[in-house]
Amino acid sequence: MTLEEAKEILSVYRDDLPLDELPEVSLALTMPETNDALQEWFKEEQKFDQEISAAFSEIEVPKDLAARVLAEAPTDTEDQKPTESKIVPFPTRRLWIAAAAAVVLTAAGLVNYFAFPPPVQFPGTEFSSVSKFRNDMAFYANSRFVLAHMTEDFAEARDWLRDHQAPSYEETPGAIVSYEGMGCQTFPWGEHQVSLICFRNGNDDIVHLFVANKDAFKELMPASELQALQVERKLETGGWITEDKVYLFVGSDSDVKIGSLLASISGV
Amino acid sequence: MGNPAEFERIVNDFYQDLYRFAYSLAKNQADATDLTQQTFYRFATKGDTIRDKSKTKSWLFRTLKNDFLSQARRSQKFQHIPLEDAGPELPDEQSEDPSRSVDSHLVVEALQKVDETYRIALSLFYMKGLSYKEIAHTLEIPIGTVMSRLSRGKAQLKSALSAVA
Repeated sequence: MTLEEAKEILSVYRDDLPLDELPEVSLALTMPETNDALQEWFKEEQKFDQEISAAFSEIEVPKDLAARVLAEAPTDTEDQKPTESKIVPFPTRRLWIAAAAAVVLTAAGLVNYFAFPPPVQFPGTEFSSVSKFRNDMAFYANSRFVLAHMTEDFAEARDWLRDHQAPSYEETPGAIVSYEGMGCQTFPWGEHQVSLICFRNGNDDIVHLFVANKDAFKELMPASELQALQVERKLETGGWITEDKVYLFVGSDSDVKIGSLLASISGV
Repeated sequence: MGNPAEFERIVNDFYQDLYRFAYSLAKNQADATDLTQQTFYRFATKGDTIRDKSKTKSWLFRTLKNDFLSQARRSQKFQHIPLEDAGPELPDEQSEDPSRSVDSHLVVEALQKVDETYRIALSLFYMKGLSYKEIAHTLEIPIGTVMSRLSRGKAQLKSALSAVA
């Protein structure tokens, strides 16, 4: 090996080179041992490499780059996988990115509107009328809302409501226990808190069960009047009163009947 | 991307080196940012096709390099000199040592004067995170050829640093 050949190798030597695959590197490495000038030259080369590497690591990276990359990443490769021809030159891409961002923001706003609808408001401070409760709960059942806690287990729904200081049942009422739970929710009704438990009846129809504390009402209508089925806002409603709670079933559309469900409640 | 957590990990592991590599090639922040984002976009949509996950890093750098070359040639902003037309320029003992006081701007400036083929190899070489084997995988050439390109590129870089210093 000539001196020039050794220098060509040594000038780019790094200790991760696979020496077993490159015997000429091992040979070149022995030459500085007997040549002081070459050894000094080799040290300078290594020093040069370290300084250039250090300069590279000083190239400033935009702080928000990772976040931008992650924000741009497609979430569904099957739907959004681009073909080669769809990847446009990067100077032009910025316009596409801006346009895409506008579309995404608009879509996100729509998704947000439908996925997280604004809460239904019941203004006022005093609710003494059970008939108003009936009407308001039918209104709520007709509105868009999301369940705060999803569960098929009525006992779990009860515990969740208790944890949120919301009115609930001690034991799952009547025939509900044999049905499939969906989840629960609690929301303010004036100054009081009302609970909602959703489930599917034997016909796979969604039924709402609203629960309010009895002290939310200044004057209670006779129990028989609440038990009588009544259509409010096109939804069948009917309920019962216990020692400290008022319960109300509300169907999810005009075809949902709650008569047999109500009849399964003990004492009704 | 099939696994968002894995994608995020790969972004966090490699975005800095990829950006620096892109910057060393494109020499401006906007294009380097676009190249980096484009590379990860490609990875998000095509990364599932990488059979050997240990080669993910090489795949990313190779994709960025190919995109850069494709864009650069399309825009004709960069002069391309075929490797076979470039003569060997080995370092010699009398050349001035330009390694004093080098900073990143100076290095990037000098790199632009290095032939494109050598510049890409040099950028990968000076990126601390890439091994020789990974450079070879990225460039799809044997390690011996990588060494040869590096040696010639380094000679040109030294010469360019002397000129810009």
